[in-house]
Amino acid sequence: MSRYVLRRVVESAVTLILATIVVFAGIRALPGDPARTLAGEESDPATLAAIRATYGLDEPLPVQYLRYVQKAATGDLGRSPRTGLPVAESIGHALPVTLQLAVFAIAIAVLMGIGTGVVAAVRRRRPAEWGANAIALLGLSVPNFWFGQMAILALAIAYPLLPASGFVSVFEDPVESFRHLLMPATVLGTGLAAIIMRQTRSAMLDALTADYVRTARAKGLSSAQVVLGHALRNSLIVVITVVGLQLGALISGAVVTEQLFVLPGFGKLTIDAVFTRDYPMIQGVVLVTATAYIVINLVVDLLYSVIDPRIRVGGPAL
Amino acid sequence: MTVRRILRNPLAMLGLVVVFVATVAALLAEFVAPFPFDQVNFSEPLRPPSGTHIFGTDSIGRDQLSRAIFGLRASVTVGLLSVALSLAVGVPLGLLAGFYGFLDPLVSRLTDTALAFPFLVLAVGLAAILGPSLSTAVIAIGIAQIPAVVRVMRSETLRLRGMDFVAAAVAGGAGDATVLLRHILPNAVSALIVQATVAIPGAIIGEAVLSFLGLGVRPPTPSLGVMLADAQTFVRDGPWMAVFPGLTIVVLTLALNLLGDGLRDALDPRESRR
Amino acid sequence: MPNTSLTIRCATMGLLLTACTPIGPGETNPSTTVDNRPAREGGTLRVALSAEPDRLDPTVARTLVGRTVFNAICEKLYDVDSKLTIVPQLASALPEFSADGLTITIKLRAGVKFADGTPMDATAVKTSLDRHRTLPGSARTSELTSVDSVQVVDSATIAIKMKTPFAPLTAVLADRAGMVMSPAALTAQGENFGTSPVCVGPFKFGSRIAQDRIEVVKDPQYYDASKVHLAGVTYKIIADANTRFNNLRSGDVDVLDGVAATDVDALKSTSGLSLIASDSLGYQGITINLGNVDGVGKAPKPLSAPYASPLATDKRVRQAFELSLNREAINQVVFRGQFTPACGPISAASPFSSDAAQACPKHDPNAAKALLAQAGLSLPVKVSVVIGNTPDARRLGEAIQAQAKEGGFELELQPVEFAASLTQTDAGRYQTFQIGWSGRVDPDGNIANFVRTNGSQNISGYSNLAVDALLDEARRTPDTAKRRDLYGQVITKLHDDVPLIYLYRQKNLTGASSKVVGVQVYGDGLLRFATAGFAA
Repeated sequence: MSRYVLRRVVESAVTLILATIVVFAGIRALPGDPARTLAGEESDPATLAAIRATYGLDEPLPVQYLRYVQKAATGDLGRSPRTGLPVAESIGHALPVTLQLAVFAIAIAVLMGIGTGVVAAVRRRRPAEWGANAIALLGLSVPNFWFGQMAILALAIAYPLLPASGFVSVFEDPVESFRHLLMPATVLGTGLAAIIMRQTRSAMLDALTADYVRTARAKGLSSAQVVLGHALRNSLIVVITVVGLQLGALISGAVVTEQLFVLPGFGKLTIDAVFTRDYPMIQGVVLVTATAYIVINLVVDLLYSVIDPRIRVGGPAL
Repeated sequence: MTVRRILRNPLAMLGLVVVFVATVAALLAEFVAPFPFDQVNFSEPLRPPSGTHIFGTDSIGRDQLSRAIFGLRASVTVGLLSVALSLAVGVPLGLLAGFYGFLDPLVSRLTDTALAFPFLVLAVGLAAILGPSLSTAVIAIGIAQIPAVVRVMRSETLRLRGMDFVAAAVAGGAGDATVLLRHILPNAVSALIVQATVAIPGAIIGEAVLSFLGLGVRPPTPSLGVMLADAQTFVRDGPWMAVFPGLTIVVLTLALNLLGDGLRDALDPRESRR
Repeated sequence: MPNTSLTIRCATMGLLLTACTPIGPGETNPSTTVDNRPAREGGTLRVALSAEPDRLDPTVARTLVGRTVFNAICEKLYDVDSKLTIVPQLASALPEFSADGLTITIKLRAGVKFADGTPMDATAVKTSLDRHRTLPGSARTSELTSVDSVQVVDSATIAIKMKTPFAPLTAVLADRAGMVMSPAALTAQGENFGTSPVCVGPFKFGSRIAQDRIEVVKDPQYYDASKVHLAGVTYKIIADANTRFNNLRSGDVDVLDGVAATDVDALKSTSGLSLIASDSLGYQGITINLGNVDGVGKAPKPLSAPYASPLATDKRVRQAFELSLNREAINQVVFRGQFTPACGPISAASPFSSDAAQACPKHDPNAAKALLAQAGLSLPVKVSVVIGNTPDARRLGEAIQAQAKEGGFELELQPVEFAASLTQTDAGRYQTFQIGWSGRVDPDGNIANFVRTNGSQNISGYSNLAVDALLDEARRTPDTAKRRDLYGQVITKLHDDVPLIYLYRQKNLTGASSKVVGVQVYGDGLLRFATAGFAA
């Protein structure tokens, strides 16, 4: 057991190092010179050379990489050449936004997904299943930027019930935070809800035909008791896994939602950094995303191996 | 067997019909569309839906129905090709990783690394290197879907390798290639089909997102995503520009998902027990 | 042109102007109002910016949007007024040029303090100018390249020694190069000055969160603090035009910088909102690669495939391309008639504008085809255009493509992500490029670098010695009337050679809630809040 833990930890570390190297080399392979982007409208070659020298962009790649790793190991992620702000500070501002959005989205997704999933499994081959299916399928079928745009038009402009944009931290003002995050979290959460619905449905179907549930039925427990007390409880482990695996994807996949609702979050930070070739910022955000993803995976794997040592998680993460 | 189960599932049938109609329309766009997709008419900008222009016109007077039909072609192409790409790369990797233990750590680390990488960073990077185009979208989305395919294929291989019929084949002297291609791969097909049915609509939406960010097909070629991105600006003056392409995507992906669900129910041996 | 004259009228209408609606053709002007409601003291103005400013360090800052923020916190030696005439700001009078143009004396306003309480004097100005000139990575070096040295004459006077006479210097000092930074803060913060800049201004820097907001608060040390009504300004960064507009409508922001042309009608029809519009000083157009082989700033050479095109070798083909484009239709269709068709680099609102500067070849697709036939080309002539990858750029590209087709051209649109497009076109890897320029007050900044032989922004690789000579003469000439004539001659030559096709001039479109009074936006497009406030 402890050898397995050790191996997984080592593997995770290797993955993380690989990811940083890929990012480091990858962004430098992109056409588009960060010095040129920094220079804005000006394109004087002498200016560009000066900018490159200022930010050490003219040194050999391995030197730049080692210097970066050395600093990153001490927690210094550098400064954005564009804004002059420390990368760690910017991430520190952006991450809570995305985390609150993600947690809210997951809460909505779990409520919607488990609800429809249970209905779909229990009312199999009946209109209720089709209805639940259709709702979940819509979640998978609607592009979220379109959904978001329509939601803003309906709920912020035509009937101004909710703010169109902006972020209020839940720790500052829970009510305002709820109002600001309700639309973006719903938009972000519907896709996940559909995935959870499917997992819940199939896990429930498995559980409902399992021996212990038959026994429970035979003991004379009502359908509701069987479903909620036994089958659902045993399906939850699957749902938790899915949510765990999706958290990484949610954090990096919130780009469009954040763009639409002007949330100063992590996804927006990432995409803007790529578009402006802000190397330190890209490296910082990918380091954090990759770390989050890898740690979550590691925890899920280890949890699983504790619960059922025969299983090693290998399911698809969308 | 399988076909009959699908035929009995009305939702899956509905999905199949819609997907069929959409594919035919996409293939025969030149004949189906009432106007060329790039026919500009400066004197008819932003016309609401009418008898001549059922989906209305856009800001430079192009027929939106025609563009949606041609856009369908781009969406379907991206959906199919990117999934084909991810299968072509992911299936062999997954087979090998699952079958040969010594390859597993390498392949698994590579997939982990790829999964830890934000999809959009990859897509923007590729778009910058290759220039925004349909093939860029195919490659970006295809690559992003490889890890999931590898994981499915690997876990299927691991599962099947332990089964009696594979053990029997190995005992019977079958070579590795035979075991992999004749025994494991065919039995993993249903899992792969399920994966693909999730992936195709995902890819179609992925194309829309990429186009929304300006990384999709080249103008003046339309795609549904490009049409939605164009509509952003005119959401008040020409809401039909957003509504119809959006609905087209929703209907198409919904149909694909319905069909996929039907296929999954029909193919999954565990489900068929019930 | 009715639009333009109105814009000038708007701009000249004065200081309390908050609403000035431009008229479209054939429209009467319903609501050009001079707002003279009094402002109450206090309140924080929330302003939506369209992009994130870069470093708030005047020496290295490069973005247009950054200049708007600087306007609140960093005053300059000179400024422009509503007529785009240069007026003293931290200086007490216009500069005195010596007869040979090589010594420029600037007197400073007395009793001015930086936001940190230290005095703004000649030493501070010298420190700032020297930093602008010499800091590695400075964005001001090229603007100040003709400066030889800066000398402190007395505590309220500096003398700038020039290497060569350079008339546009006053305009340069009315931009970031003229911003004076607190030497104490420079010493304390060094290269991180931009994370908490200290200058002279109605407001002082408060805080900044990347991607989100910049907050500035009223500076009690400011020399004119009694005229400042607001307690502070919060700039929120909202990249998406729709979202920006929705925020204004829902009251989440009070002022909106960069109203999309497509939102103007909706804004005007919304009660409680008003529009401030003026022609920008910049332009948008198509730059044609004539001989950029080795990169920008290098001597032009003949192009080879795939970047060579008939456009590069025959000016008749370029003239034909220009004739095939209908600027009025582009403006109507792509920008809903909100921008101003433009045929040259000088805004009609500029004191340097003349008839020659505004001359325009008429749209004539048949003449275009005739020219192509003269040039001995078979139709269609194939040309590729690098465009941006935003919906707006795509729409413009598609409209140009459709028009050029009637003139006998077949355009291939090549959308390229912005960062990559700059590198690619600097290096000369393109046939034509849809790009623009944000504009400067002095026409030299809008023309010289782009068309002068080996100019630092001459990505076309254009070279015409007669144009070079005229531009040099204009730089040496302090007299506005003479310079106006010289630039007119330059533009006439540009229309013949067509190294770039000017298409339209954006408008500075600012939306404001009617709760707000006293917001000023001049032709330079910067939002001025010194005397703004909430209506009492």
